[in-house]
Amino acid sequence: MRRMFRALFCIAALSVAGSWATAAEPGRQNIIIDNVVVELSATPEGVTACVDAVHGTKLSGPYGVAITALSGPDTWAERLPKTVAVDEDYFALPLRIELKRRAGAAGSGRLQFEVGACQPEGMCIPVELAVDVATLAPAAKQVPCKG
Amino acid sequence: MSTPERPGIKQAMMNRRELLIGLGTALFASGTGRLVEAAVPGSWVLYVSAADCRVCRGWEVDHKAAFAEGLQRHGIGFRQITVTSLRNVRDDAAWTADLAWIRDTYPNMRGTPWFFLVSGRTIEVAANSTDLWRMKFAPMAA
Repeated sequence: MRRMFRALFCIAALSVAGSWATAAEPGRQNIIIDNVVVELSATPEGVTACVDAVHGTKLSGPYGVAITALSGPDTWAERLPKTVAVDEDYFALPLRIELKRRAGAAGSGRLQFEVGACQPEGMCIPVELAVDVATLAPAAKQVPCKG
Repeated sequence: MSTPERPGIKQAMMNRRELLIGLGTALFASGTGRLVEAAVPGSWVLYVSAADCRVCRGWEVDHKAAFAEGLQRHGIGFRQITVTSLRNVRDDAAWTADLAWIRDTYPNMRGTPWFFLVSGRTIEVAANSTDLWRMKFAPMAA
């Protein structure tokens, strides 16, 4: 019985913490797949993506980060898909990518980020992360990537 | 209140621990032995890498030559294919007709590196990371 109450208390505490985290940063969207993290935040001009990795994973520099507009490609001021790559073996993280909206374009559509994630167990795999820009609340100023 | 010493139980627990350690060691040794047995002369290892796979480059610099030499000593061949990008490890251009069946055996093949021990038309062992290579393939060349 006591265990059940403890479990219920933990669930309640976690849900409160979760709702607090969402409420604290309404203009941000976080997605983690295969130890790759993309945090997207709205800016007055468009969106900023902070690409990072956790648990010892590295992102291949020559593979790059490919950004594709899965919907609404006309929203963006630059032509997509676009790939950001470096000669170094791995990207210095976090990597900040800014995408500017075309003047007068509405902020909608889905963006896909594709990276080559090299995992600590000794393998590199392609990882795709898709984020919905429409759900981002506009922010008053640019937010820095957390290192 | 303290629990009185019970030497008989303590001894039995120690014996059980030793027994478990012994059993684990025996299982590991027999597992490794089976892997080495799988690598009969006439079989060969296929190594699949990608031009943009830094893990693969690291393995090639540190281990490839010694591994291929070790395999050769045991009568096991070594072949390598390099795909343009780990984005598409199944790229037709890299998989020649005689190797395509290996790729087709693994429809969910993703990323690099991959290692296959092939005997005739059978894949005896497969690994898709350098950690798994160390566990499954390195003993074949020792």
